[in-house]
Amino acid sequence: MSVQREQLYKFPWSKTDNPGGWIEVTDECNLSCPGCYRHRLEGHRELSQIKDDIVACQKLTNCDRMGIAGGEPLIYPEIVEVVDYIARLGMKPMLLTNGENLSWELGRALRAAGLAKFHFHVDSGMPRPGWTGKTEAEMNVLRQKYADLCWELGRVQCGFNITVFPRTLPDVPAVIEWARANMPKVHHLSLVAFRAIPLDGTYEFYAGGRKVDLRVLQHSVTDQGTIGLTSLDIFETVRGHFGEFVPCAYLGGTSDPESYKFLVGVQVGSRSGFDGFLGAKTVEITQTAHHLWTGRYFDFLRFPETGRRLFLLGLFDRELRRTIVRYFAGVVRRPTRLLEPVYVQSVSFQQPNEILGNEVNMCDGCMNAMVFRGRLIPSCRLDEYRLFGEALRPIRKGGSPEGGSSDSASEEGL
Amino acid sequence: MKKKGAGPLPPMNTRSLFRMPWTMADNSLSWLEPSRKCNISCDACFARNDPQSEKTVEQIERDLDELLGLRRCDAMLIAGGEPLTHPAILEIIAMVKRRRVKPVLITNGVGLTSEWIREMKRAGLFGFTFHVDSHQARPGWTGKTERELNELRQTFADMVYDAGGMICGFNMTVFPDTLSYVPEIVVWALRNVYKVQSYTFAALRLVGPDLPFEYFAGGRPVTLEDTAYYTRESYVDLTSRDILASIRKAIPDFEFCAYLGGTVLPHSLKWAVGSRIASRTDGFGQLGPKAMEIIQAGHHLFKGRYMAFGNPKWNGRAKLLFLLGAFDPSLRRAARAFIGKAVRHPSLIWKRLCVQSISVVQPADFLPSGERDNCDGCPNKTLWQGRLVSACLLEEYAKFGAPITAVPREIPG
Repeated sequence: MSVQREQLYKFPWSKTDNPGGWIEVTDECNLSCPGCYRHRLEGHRELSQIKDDIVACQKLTNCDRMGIAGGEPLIYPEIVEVVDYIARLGMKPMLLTNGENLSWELGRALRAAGLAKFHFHVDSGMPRPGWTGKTEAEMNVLRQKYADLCWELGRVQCGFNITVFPRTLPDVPAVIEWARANMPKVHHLSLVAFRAIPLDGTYEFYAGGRKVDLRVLQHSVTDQGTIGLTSLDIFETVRGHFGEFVPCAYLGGTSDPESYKFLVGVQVGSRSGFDGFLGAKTVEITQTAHHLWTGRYFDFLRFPETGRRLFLLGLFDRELRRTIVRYFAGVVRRPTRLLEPVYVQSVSFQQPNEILGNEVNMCDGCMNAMVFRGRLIPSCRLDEYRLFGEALRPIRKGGSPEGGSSDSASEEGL
Repeated sequence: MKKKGAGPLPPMNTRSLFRMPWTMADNSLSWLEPSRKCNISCDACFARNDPQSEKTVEQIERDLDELLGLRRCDAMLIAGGEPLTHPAILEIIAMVKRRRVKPVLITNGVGLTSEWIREMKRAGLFGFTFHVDSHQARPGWTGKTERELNELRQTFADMVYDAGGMICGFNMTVFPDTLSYVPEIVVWALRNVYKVQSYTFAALRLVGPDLPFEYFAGGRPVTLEDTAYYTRESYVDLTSRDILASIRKAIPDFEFCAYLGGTVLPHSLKWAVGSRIASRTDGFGQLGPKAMEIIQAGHHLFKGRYMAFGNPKWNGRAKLLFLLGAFDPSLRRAARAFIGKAVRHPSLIWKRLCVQSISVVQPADFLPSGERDNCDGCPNKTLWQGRLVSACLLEEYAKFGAPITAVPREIPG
């Protein structure tokens, strides 16, 4: 296996000390993507209710960034006020959007309200007018449009969310290639393995002691064998193309600590090129120092333009030292590079919930937890709480009465 | 009827505490069971005494390597069952030590001798955590109160201290009838601060007929009546706050500095620790959250692991910790208290100061919805069929092949 666990930093995040919080402003959307886990049940939420949940989420999670999601948050009429409210509470507001509704004026207003980052969901699986039938590599044209828009707005970061399906897997390296060519403009890529609830009869689902019929979860169930992709599959594809790709940190699973629910590599480079990666020690030192100074861990820093002062950490981090050597070799070839700012860009490989035996393997240290009726829940399972009152419990059908087989079931589940 | 916890609930704001950075894959501790055999039987034990469960040395070595492959840790708790019943205990200690993990025994101490302690020390043992409380069927000590048991605690503490170079801790399951003895035990522990490095109070957890649930495991209905932790007696569900209130009767200014929350209720105090700085006669306050954060983060930066137990060779040098007072208000107060007293009694400057940790544990709770609130970041994970499970739930995996799911008999309103 190309990932060496002992060389990675396990993020120290927990439920109550986590860099990420999450708020949903609406469950309406202007697109309807396959595999979306959100159903239209309530429409736009009351602003006062949203504000209460933001405060509660900050208190419960100690978060540094608040993800604003939905539904599509940019169709929520008071979105600017939500961003402003979060920024005033001292958190970094981050918008998760498909970008369809983003105009220059709205972008300006959001930036003025204190928006720290756009996180655009752009992939070829979305039924986006004018962009259907494109390959994942062709979608880079649209990504470029949004990256340029953020760059022109200034002082607002730009990340992309890409749901990866088995058929789009071979195109992932082209997306990373594109991101490397845009180091100053693009600060994050999330490559998320497609997940849905299997409806092939292997499992029954219970809530509150009653069996539930999952066909009400119309988008998030599947009969097809499309849900086996793991974060490691995506990583291996990337590694196959960029042999030098090194991850530095991760989150494991709650049931299976060997699964990589969230695996991160951080690229370092400048306008004219990519130089290398950060190692685990740099991530550990920055997370630890941020927590010592501010009392919180961080998802992303306010300024992705770290500059060459980042190189000081090379004292402790061998991987970063390699990067520094490559950087200065590049400078020798082209001295004008010394004038270019140095940026970091993170690439995360994510693997949402899967069912193992009779348990759901979740992210241990989930950074997208939200408040629902006063409780902290993983946002990806919100609709289970909204529709059934609690998280679904899967029961593998025909489980044998002896203990041993339940574990072999979890092996298959992998 | 099962009642809410007795005793006053002191105000508790976990936001002011440091959340230990421990997770499933990167933790301070792990748990290794050479056997589930035991030579005594204790009330509220979560493991069934199984005389046939002794593993071979090869099996234990495989378990150990697999466990360490899944999880980084600073110390390995060698538990059970009673680990001292294993004939190859010295070899087990040595194999943990060879892997550069601190071997610590969790034992009832029955049959322990000074000579044996020395042998284990030579094998590389880092220290002991003795389980001593009045709900144990311990030969020669039945019917004794917790106060009378301090004599037995003293014997163990003295033996470990005489062997030298090891840490000594105690744990106790707290029952409603022993809650009132907690202050006396705390006072005893503080008097022995040179010898005793940690004290753990764990609230008892049992299931009984009062609980309004039906139970399932792996989709099949199961009955818990023949599990180790089933009781027909009514009991009061003690919480960590009840125990904290009791500790404060002995140390009025006692505060926790760090904690672990629940897997369902993020701010339930499942595990919490407070660390006192004291000489045999005087207490000078405690570590604050910032000091614990610096210690945990610093240990991880330099050693690659979160710290479980401090090295015994640093015992008695707690004055060095006052330096962290630069960042930690609680230690600044402690340093001021020390200097204030040292001005009046200059001989204090030469006295050793020690750190003693008092931990409180509130094991898995069933919530009215049937969900189970476990420790988020559980330090006591052990290996079961190639995966990590909480040692306190191992019985369920072993018996049913899956953790128990509770479903309310009536849907809560």
